[in-house]
Amino acid sequence: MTEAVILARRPAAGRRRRAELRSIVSHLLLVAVALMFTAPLLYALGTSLKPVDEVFTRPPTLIGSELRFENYIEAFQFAPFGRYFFNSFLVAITGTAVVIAVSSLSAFAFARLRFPGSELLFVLFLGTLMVPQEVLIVPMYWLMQVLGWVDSYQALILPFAFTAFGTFLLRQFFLTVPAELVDSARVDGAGPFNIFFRILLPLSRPALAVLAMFTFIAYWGSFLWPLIVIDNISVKGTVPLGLTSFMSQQGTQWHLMMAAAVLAMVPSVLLVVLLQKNLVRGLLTTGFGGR
Amino acid sequence: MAIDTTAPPPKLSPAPRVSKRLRDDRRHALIFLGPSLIGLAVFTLFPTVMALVMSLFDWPVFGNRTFIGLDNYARLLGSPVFRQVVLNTCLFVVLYVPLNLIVSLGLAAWVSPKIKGRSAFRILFFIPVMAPIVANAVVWRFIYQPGGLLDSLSQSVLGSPAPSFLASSATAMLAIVAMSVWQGFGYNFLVFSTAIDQVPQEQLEAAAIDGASGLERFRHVTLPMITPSIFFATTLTLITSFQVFAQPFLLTKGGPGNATATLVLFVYNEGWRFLHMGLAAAAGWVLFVIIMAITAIQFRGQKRWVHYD
Amino acid sequence: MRLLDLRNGVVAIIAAGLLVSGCGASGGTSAASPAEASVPPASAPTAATPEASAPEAVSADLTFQFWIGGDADKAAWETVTAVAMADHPGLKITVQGTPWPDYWSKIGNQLSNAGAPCIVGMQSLRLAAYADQLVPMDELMTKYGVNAADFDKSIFDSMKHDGKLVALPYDFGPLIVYYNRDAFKKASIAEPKPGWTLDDFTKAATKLTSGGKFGFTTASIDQEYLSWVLDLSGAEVLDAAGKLAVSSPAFVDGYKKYVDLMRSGIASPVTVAGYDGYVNMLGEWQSGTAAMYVDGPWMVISNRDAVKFDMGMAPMPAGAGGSKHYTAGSGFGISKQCPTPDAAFQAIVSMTGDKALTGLASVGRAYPARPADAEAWYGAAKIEGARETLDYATSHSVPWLTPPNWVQMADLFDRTGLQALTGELKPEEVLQTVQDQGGL
Repeated sequence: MTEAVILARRPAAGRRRRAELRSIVSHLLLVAVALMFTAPLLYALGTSLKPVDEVFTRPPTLIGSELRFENYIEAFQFAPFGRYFFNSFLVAITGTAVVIAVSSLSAFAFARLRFPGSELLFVLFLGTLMVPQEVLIVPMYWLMQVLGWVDSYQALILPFAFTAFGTFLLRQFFLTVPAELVDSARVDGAGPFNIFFRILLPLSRPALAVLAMFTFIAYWGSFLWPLIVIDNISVKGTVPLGLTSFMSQQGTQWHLMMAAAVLAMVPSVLLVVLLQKNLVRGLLTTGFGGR
Repeated sequence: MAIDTTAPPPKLSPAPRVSKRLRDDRRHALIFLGPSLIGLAVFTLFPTVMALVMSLFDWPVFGNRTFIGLDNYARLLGSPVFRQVVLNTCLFVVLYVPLNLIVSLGLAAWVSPKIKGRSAFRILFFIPVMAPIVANAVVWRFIYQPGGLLDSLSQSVLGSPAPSFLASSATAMLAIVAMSVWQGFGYNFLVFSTAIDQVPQEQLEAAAIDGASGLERFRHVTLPMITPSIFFATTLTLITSFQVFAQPFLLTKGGPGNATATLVLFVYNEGWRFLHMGLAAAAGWVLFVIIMAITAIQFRGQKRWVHYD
Repeated sequence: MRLLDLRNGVVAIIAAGLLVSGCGASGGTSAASPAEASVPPASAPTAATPEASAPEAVSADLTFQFWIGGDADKAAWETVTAVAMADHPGLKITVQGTPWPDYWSKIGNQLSNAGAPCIVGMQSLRLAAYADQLVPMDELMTKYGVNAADFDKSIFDSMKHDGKLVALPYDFGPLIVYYNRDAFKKASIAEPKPGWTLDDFTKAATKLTSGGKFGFTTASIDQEYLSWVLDLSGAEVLDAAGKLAVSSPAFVDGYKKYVDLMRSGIASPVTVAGYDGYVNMLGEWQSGTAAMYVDGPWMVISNRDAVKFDMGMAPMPAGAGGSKHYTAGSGFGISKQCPTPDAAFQAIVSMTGDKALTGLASVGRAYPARPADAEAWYGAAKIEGARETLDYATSHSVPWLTPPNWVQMADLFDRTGLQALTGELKPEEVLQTVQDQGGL
């Protein structure tokens, strides 16, 4: 009897031990892979703190002979990075606000209002998703010239703020809000505006978080369009444009460029860390990561 | 888009005063949809049509615009440079999309619910997506160039210099693809990661009891359940990868020769540096047509492998 | 910190420049450039004095678009516009800009905008593509009594398109060799001087190449390969009839020699084409990794301030046909969209006048296009042998002529040329490609 129990238990214990071992190895490997994927970032961080003449030392070092935090100050002195960050924040935040406002309104119409041709219109909306933004840069620039918007904030914000993507994403979410909730509000005499602002929006925080994050990141990193539409970089330039100014006739200031690049990553990283909880829920419920 | 086809139609409960409600809804719909409709009309539909119009003109930045019919398209198709640009773009897509999907799906499966410190890994793998692409490109140029990270590593470990990745036609595109995968896999990683979370644990456990290995469980249980996500991710990745611009612009300017010149880089050069707006618009439309065709094929094919519950 | 100091320095030197310019007209005679020899500068009335250039009070808000690398760069150009604003109190000039490579991908579309900047920077090589959008200045020159003879003739002429002046030059100069004197001394090599030969160059570069250091550095960018082709075989981009001739036997010969020279191990490997490559090249020379490189005199003072070694300048080494140089330069044009071209012209006259140029020259931004101001530049540069080198190079120079689509052609040439420098393509294949694809 006891022997049988032991016999039965042993392989189980072995299996468990093997599973544990495998889990440890898996964790270690994953850490190694994660390190590999973050190596470029660590390298950038290390370089951003090196003295200029140690940038190209061999063998490569992660950390120079001293940690020069002054590099970060010098980067701001080399180019008006304060201005670039202000512009980038202004554009990214305003742009995100416009996208959320416009898409949530139209998403509500598609999800909760009945009107003729709604399905056809929705398909048309989705169709515009297929138009790659880069195809539009030529006529869009021409439009900016006609409107007199070249080198302006509105040119940085508006042209790509009306994407059907947000509408689609939020509609998916609005549909998951129980109909009874909306109906009982209707019965209580709430108009669509009330329902939209009081019920749907507060419930949609996760979906809004997802949309906000994607939109913010897109605006924050946008490069081609600002490159084309901004003429006066020191006034209207955004961070990505500013980063290119380190390559100049004075030679490439690699250490300063890395310092600025590291700083440029901070806002989005913070955003994702802060929104993380909402994000995962939002991704689940918008069907973004849905099955 | 994938989800669209399965999304439930708006659930409308029977309301007591249907006609009045319909009338109200119509009025309200106009208000709710107004900003979107105007915005899309002005900033998407109109420019799309305008691009087509411009592509039919000799539209120099200065001077007279003349209608030339399809001449711009004929010029493009007859140009060996443009043909190479299209091929380069396709090469990029063919290399980038599968690599991106493999890396993101693999890592998403690995960073499964059982892994400790999961959210830290998630954020870590997502950082490259969040960083401005200019910052990333700068870092990678620094990695690739002689004297940079790879070269120094190769010199200290192997004792011989690494090839000049961006200066050789043979490796330049690969170098750009590698950088792009690193930069871009985070989105799909997040999408897959969320999808995998939704696979019911009971089914996985049942499979495990039946003796299925981890890999088998992934293949036969997880993978079929997340096909909609894979379809969604593939479609978006395809569309965006055809529009690759910043990487070649910042790393190689399309060189050496034309080895890394892509369609959007071509549009940018023609339109802004060489001042041929009509030709640039035509090249943009060619890109649009390619993307539409690929997406159509994608949607056609989906029925065979995408399983919606 | 250094940059802030530099900016203060700029202001101080400009102030000094204003004092100097008080006697500029008479003091300039000692500058001896060949162009000047034919036109005695003392006889030419200087147009930049406020009395001469302001027949009536002007008042306008002007935007000045220029290539600007960073804050210090912008500050330097603001001191130039400050001179114009001091000359004409009614003028308000705002400086704005983008880095050099972006400048040329913007200016075309910008000039077609209704709100185009009034004053725009123009480089002699690239001006042809934009000339139609610039106000011809010949009548304005007469109206405001500006004398063409005050300017170096070669750069003044290269600011013309179809015989009409479309920009007023502020700087120019021949492309010459910059070298690291410390490296030469350490290797006990005689320093290059006017009249040195290709053989001298090769020997020096070979000797300087050791232990991770290189004798020379180049880039696949027009000013580099074209300078060498001209020097090695005398061939130019355009033939006598003004036709593109990069596949002519002489050009092929010169380009082959250049590629062979660069691939013989004396030069650091080229890794990227165009302006990025230029920046790499500059960085290698400034950091001491390479001992010599070719660039224009507009880089003298920023180079001097950037390097930790003693630097020198020399003409191009004499190839089979002797030492040859290209001269190039930049100036300011007026966009046709400008509502107040007269005011813009008066501002430009001030900006290319003695005061601004001596100021700019003394911070080394530019080798002045007015020979009379060269003295201030040499005084500020304080580089041993600079005058000797530049005089020699200028007297052995030709103006750099390019076809109107040079921006596009150079882009192709730069990228394809990289393949010759890395050995992927034969030099003649590169040139054939450029000749064939010249216009898409």
